[in-house]
Amino acid sequence: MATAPHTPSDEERDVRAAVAGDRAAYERLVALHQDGVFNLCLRFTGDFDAADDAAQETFIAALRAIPRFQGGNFRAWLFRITTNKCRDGYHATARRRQLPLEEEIDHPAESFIAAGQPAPTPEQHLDLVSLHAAIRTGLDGLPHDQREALVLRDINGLPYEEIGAILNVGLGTVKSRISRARARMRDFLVANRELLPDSARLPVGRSRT
Amino acid sequence: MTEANRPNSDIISALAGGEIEAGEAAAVQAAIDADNDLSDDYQSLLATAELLATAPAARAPRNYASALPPVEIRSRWTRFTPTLLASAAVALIAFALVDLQGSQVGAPDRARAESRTAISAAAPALAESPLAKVQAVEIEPAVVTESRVEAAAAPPAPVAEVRAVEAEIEVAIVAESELAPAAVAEDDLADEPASAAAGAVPAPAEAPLAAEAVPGLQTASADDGAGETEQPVQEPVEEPVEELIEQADDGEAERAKSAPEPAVAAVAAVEPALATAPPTAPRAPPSPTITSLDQLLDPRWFAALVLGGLLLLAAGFAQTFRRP
Repeated sequence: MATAPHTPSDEERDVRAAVAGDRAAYERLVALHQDGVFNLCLRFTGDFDAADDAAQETFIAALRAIPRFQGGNFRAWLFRITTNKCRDGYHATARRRQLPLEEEIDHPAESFIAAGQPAPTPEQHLDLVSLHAAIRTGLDGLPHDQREALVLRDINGLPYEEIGAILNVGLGTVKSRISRARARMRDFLVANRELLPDSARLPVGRSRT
Repeated sequence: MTEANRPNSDIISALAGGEIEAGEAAAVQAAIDADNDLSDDYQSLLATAELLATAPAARAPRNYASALPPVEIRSRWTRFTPTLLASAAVALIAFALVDLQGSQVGAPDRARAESRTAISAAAPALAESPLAKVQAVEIEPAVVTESRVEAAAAPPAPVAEVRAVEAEIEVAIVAESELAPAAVAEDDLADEPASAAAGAVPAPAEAPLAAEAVPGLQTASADDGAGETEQPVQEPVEEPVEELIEQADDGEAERAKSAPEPAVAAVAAVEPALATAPPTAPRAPPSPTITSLDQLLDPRWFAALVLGGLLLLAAGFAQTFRRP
């Protein structure tokens, strides 16, 4: 599933072509963003199959909506569609969610992205699986609104303004949600240090909720 | 540091996430350095953010581009198509309403044409009826009446005679409507039998009364049989009759529509049997479609039209502005 190197200028050109109706350009954009969209869905929903379905629906919806794209950050626009699709599936996902750790252990090593890194050793893969599962478990314990804000900020690295645009809330609300989510996540990770690999364990200190 | 100056958790978290301005960041950092609790809080939040940033990302399980449905990307302007279609549908409904109103406005023309046909068909009988005789006696347009009765009784000559009969009917309608004042005038004449018996020149007031009663007709004097002051019998003045015909032809939809009713009433006053006679003119069978606004404004039709229009509009706007 390797994709050709895609520079920002290439992405902008493909976005313009896709808006004009170029199907091939849109497919290149899908190939560029499908990992990010799938991971966002996986962290929003906490379920692999639900994330797969939500990602597929996201790209179908984006295909229909791209003539309305007004310009700007295409990834933020795509993440907004992703958020809406995942919200539609929250209730169905909550009923069929499995234990994330058991599920992740069964995943093959190549299911994780190691950009520019050689294939992980079995020990490294186990650490990745453990970390991934611990984070997913911690995110599952957050309210949906806080989880969305924290994932968009700390995992996907979006600025607060874009998060506010994606979630359709104000900047103050974004700050508040991220602060509360981060504090709850910290408390979970400190309380469940054994779930994390040694290199990723948080320092024990006086945490406040 | 007082409790009021202590940075809250949102600010500390923003500092940990690097989403705070440089000037404010320095002040908050100074406050954190001065407070161990704040420092621990900040360090743990910073470690959490860094840990989340290093969270492994999973690969997409498949290529979503190959699973896209075979639909074409619509161009920018085609998104307005549903709204345009819905607007066109509503415009069609509005056009139908306006067209029906227009046909309703034109309905008096059809009614007038039907009434003219009926009057033409009934004209011979009307001319020979006692109504004509009563008119001849009361108003005494002797020459004119005879000629018109003859013309009406003659075999139907399509255009000229029909027009003459129509004119006569119009005159009869006007005469009947003015019958009451004329009767009053005759009563006044009856109160002065001496002057009439003596064959004196009729009072000047009589002629205007008769002239008002039947405009356009020759008003012979009441005692033209005496011949003392016999005035020349004028030929029927055609212009007022033509004017009446033109008025009937040129419009006056309400008058044309209501004209047969006073005629029937006037006839009924003299000859009830004639007035109640069934119309002889054939009538077109009723159309099965909606032909009048009253039918359209039937609550069922109206509700169906309004509901259909609203549904089309809602569908168009929902299709156009639906959330992706």
